[in-house]
Amino acid sequence: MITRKVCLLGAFAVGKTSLMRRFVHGVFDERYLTTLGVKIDTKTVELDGKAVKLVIWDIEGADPADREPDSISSRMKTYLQGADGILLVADGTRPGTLEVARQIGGAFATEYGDIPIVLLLNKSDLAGQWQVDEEQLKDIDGLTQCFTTSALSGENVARTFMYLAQKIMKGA
Amino acid sequence: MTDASKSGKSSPDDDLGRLRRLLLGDEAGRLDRLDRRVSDPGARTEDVAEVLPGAMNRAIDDPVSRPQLERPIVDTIRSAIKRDTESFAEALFPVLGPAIRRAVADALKSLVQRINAALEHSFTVKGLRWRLEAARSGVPFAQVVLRETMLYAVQEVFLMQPRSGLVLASARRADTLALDQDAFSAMLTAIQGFIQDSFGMAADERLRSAELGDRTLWTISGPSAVLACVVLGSPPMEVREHLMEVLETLHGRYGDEFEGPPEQLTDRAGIETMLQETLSAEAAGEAGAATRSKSYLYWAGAGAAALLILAWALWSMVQADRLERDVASRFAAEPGYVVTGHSRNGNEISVAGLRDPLAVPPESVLAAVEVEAENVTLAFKPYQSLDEDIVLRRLRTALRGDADLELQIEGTRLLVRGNLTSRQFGLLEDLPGSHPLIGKVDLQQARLEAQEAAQLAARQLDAPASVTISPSGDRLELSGTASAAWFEAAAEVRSIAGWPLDPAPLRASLEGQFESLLARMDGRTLTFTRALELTPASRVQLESLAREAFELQQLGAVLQIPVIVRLDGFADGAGAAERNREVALSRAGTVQTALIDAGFDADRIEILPAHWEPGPVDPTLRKVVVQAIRESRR
Repeated sequence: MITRKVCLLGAFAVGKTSLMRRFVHGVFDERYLTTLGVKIDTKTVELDGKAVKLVIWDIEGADPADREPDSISSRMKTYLQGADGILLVADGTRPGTLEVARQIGGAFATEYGDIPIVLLLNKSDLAGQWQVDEEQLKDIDGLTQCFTTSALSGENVARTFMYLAQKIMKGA
Repeated sequence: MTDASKSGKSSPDDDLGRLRRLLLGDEAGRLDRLDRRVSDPGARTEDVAEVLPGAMNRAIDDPVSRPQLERPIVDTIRSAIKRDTESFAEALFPVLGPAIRRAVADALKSLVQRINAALEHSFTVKGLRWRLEAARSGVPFAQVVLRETMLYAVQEVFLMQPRSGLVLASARRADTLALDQDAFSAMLTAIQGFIQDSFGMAADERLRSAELGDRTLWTISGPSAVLACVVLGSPPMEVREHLMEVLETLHGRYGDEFEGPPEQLTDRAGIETMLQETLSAEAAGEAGAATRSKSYLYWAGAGAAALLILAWALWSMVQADRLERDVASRFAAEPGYVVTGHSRNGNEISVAGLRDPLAVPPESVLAAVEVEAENVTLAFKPYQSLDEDIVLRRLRTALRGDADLELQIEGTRLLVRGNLTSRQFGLLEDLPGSHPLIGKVDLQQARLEAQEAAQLAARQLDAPASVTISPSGDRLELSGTASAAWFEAAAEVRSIAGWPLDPAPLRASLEGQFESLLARMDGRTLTFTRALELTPASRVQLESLAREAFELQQLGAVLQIPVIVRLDGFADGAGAAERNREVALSRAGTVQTALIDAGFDADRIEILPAHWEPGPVDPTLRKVVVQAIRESRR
């Protein structure tokens, strides 16, 4: 079976773990539990008649205050080694999280080159409270695609993962 | 057709051929032959067939070339099987049958062993514990049995990319629960990264092992791949070394493929076969049995040694106790010793009690027991013993007696035999009453010196001064005079201080005294006044007469000569005859009364008929005449 490593990155509380749970297990939990270190889960999808197993690394949220601009922490670098694709997650209701995503995406593109990076603007169920406009999305380096998602409703979640998987496989 | 050929001129090819022949001569022919040989497939096949076996052998022996040789062969066989499965099935049919049978037999054997183990433990405490464990954890009972009966088992092996954590290949035992290998290896890689980052470790410093319960996780790192192994139990280090060798071999063969996508490995099956071979295990029942049998031997040996030591210690203790009791009982049995307590501390024996100064020295007592004198501590206080031996020893010391003086105690009686001085005799005489043990001293068989014996006899018999006790030959002779009462008492004593008493001289003297008294009494006349009263002189006479009569009766009794006193009363003839008779009897009665009053036996007094004469009054007849006679003469 084909296996690929996918990493979920983003600021605190943007919904990375919820997106993974929604994609892998099809559930959503209202409770917020911060992720320490990394959580790993797998999901096998079918692409062009082939089974592809995605090994999803849900990496702890980055804190914008503690981070140096445009860099990735050494621990995150360790976790990102050998990744085949990146899901950058930002919270549409918090513009600061988009900034964190931008920084991580930029740093990642510099560090690891042409690996597909997909941005997820999460919490589309709260679209009325969004404070992000499309102009801000243009600044993110190396971005392959952008999706608005909702872990709560499941909107675009599977589609985003599938899109990334296809991109990974095409690049292989 | 060209113009040149039409005109008969030689073509450029012909010219070239001529030129070649001119330049190369015979070489041209050889080259043509070589060219034909190379161009001829048949000849080429022959040439290759000639060198192929040697080349193959060399390639197989070369570790670098062998994988290159194996790969196309494997690929070819694989594609051939895909293309013509039927032919291969037919070709393999003779091999597959036995192979399947052997595999099934092995699997059955393993199953039977496991069932045996399960059955063996089904009804034991251990088996119940395993069942509880299986029920609690949800793990099948058979697997719990397997886990518990295995010394170790390499359960699962992953070959994974060190950076991405993706699994390249894996193998696991059939009896192991499947886990999500990709998630597991990814998490393992994350943990590796976390630890490296947390401790600032270099990239080549990696977690080597982790333990959880009875499982150990080993990670063996290579340049392009990491081998992670889940091991149950306690494997020997040789297993890890073997896994390292396997990883090295895998790197040697496939190292350049490890960094690419896992699905692009060209020989995953070969890799997994190698990984499968690393799933070694050792059952506790096999290696354990040998170890157990060895350990039984060790335990048996140790147990025997412990038993020997214990037995020796017990024996030593019993011996020491016996020796302690021996020492104590020896002292207790020895006259003049009293044991009040004894104890032992290791080999040191302590005895406490009392010792009479006349008892034998303690060293003599200890000499009779096999004990080192320095190992014995004695604490005896002095006392005076009543043991017969010690009493006799003390008496002998006090008497300063000769060796021939025999002393013997029978109960509370001291028996003395041999010659004694009067001092010794006196000491012995004084012993009863003053000695706590001796109530009586028997001196019958002891013998005093003659004069001392005589003096002793005089003392003992309380002899009056009129009696002389003097040695005569081997006897003490009693002589002189004595009262009948004294003689009677003295005649009872047969001997004193070893000297027989001879009372014969005294008896003869008493007989003389008897006769003298008898003679003096017989015919005595006591005179009376007219008024029936004794005259004053006769009154005095009657008193002495009465005493003599009593004395005579006493002597007679001692000498066995019965005495009778007859009283013959007289009257003076004045008055009527009857009156005279009454007066005469009255006078005899007065004397009779006086005799009885002095102690004379009344039965031995006879009063004769009254004597009176009619006629003139005769005042001399106012009397009583006493007759003292032996009874035999009556």
